[in-house]
Amino acid sequence: MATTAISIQSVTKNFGRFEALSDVSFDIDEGEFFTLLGPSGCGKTTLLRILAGFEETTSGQIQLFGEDIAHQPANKRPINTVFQHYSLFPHLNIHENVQFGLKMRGVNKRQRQARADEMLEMVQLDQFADRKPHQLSGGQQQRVALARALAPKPQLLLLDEPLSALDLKLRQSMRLELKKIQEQTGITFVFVTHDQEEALTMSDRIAVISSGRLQQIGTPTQIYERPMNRFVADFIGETNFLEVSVLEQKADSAVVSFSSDATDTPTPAKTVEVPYDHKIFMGPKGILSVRPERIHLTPFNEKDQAGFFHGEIKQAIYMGTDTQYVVELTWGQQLLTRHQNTVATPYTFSKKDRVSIGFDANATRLLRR
Amino acid sequence: MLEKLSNMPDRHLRKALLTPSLTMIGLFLIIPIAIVAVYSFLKPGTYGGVVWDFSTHAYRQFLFEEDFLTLKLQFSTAYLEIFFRSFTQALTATVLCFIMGFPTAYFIATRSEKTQSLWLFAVTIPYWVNLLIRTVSMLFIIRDQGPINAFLLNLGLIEDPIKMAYTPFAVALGLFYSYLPFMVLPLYTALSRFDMSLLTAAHDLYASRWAALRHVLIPNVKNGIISGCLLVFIPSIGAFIAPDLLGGGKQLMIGNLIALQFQGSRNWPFGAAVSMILLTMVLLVLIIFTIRSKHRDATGE
Repeated sequence: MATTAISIQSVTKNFGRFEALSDVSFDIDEGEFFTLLGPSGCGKTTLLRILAGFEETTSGQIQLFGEDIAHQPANKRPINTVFQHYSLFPHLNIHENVQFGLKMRGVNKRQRQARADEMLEMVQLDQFADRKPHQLSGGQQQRVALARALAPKPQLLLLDEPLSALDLKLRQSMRLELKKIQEQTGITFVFVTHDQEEALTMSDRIAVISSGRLQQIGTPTQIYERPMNRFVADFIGETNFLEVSVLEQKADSAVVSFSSDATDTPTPAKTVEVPYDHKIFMGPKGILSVRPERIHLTPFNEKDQAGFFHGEIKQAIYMGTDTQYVVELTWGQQLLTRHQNTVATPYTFSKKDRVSIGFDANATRLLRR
Repeated sequence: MLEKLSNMPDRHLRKALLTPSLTMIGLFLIIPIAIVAVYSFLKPGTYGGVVWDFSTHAYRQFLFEEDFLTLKLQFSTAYLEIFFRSFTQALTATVLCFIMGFPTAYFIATRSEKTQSLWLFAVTIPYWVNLLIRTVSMLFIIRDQGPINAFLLNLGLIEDPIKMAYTPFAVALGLFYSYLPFMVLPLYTALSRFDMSLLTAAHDLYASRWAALRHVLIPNVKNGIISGCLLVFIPSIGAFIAPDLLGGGKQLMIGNLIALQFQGSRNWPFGAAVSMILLTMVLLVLIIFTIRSKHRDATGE
């Protein structure tokens, strides 16, 4: 069992009458790449600022390796931050910027210079040591900010949307570099982002936060494959929601019918048994989340009526690696589907084609409406 | 007219735009200084004015005293003392202005954008009243029978009035009050450009409040501090009204010494010479600051 690096226990933060964080609790293990994911204004940055010591909690406890730090000022916490807009000191050169934390801690000049050299080498900026921050590009400044925050060997590194100011290509290569550096140093990273792709590709575990509340915590696979509620299913990746009625509950599966298809009487083909592992309710309160890439389309055939329902292709968008179809169902709902363009692709469709829609019941997720 | 300006090539446009200010500077700065420089090397006329006769007597008079009987020159520190006093008074005023001005400027720079202009406006309000009137009213407040002493006497905190008027302290106070906005405004400009999130970053990197101020804030607003200090120090050293009124003529400063030469003493060349010495000193201070900041920039890059 891994050591707990930081333990957040029922942390609540109010700004006046606004509740930014509401009773948030979770633990982060040592050496983990942990991501706080949520839309802007959800409270993830507030939580980061609380961990850094820039904000006080209204109530709750924070323990860093077992030590209560909730009331310790930022400059006393062995926690460093990589800021969204880098916040490099403009009057100091790159080398001096990286040394700053060590200098403030009273480390002697020779040692802190050696450490700064080491850090700059790690982020491949050793040849820029004498430059001023404004002489570097955005991506380089970001790496200096990372080196500066890592130089004092913090017990926890906080990263506040560090990649959001970079362009797409750079962002993608920085993701890999960040992950590599995290593995190299073994330091626990707490990464804040609103970009679900970033969260999925880099994290060991993700905490999804919305409106100041923790929605779900888990590995990228768990979060994507087994979202706990409608918000998580919708926010992480793309999904389709189908309204269903829960007809029968079994030990770990439930029989549901597609209730929106009101005009048709439910036939055996229109009820489906789907797995579940969390609290659900009987009756017309269910919703089935189906990922676009889990849906398979076949040409519509009056005779065998394959699939659960049928519809008409409204849009076909070729996107290189895959093709995206928007299908309008008989009751007007639109479904998004995505199909990889491999050599073996059995069908391609074009606008106005009629298709049957099928999916593997195990690849769906039954949620509360 | 505007059309004509915009059609002009850049170089000509710049010339055209600079001409009025260059003419003003030439007419009312260079020429008068040249006259003062020339006068300082002439002999005084009996009833003021000058006699057109080359002499370095005025400069010698600054450092040496002519013995009445033997007419031999003896080294005298009387005028040097006045210079030294002016220097210390101006320095005190500058330090006071900085101590008061920095928190003020910081306060204004950290307000919301809308209220900032309101606060800046408030800083300039005293300038609606003539400096002379402000200085006289200050004298009324700090004199022995003034409200401060009356208040303290009535409370029984003191038995005799505190002597404030006509002291070096009064002069420094007067200078400080006269030039405070000159400190606040450049400091505000520098501080409002400063990215306050850098203090958060410093705090995150183990800097205490004091260390963040010393290692991050001050170095980044250094230029504002230098210009604020120069803008207070330079007019303070040559100030005339505050030392005259608040110092009661007992705290003679360079400004008063110069004024005396042109009024009472009718020694125009000596007045001109003292002016030139003051000018040279101020220029030296400026040159030193310029060289030092250039040198720092060069090593910093």
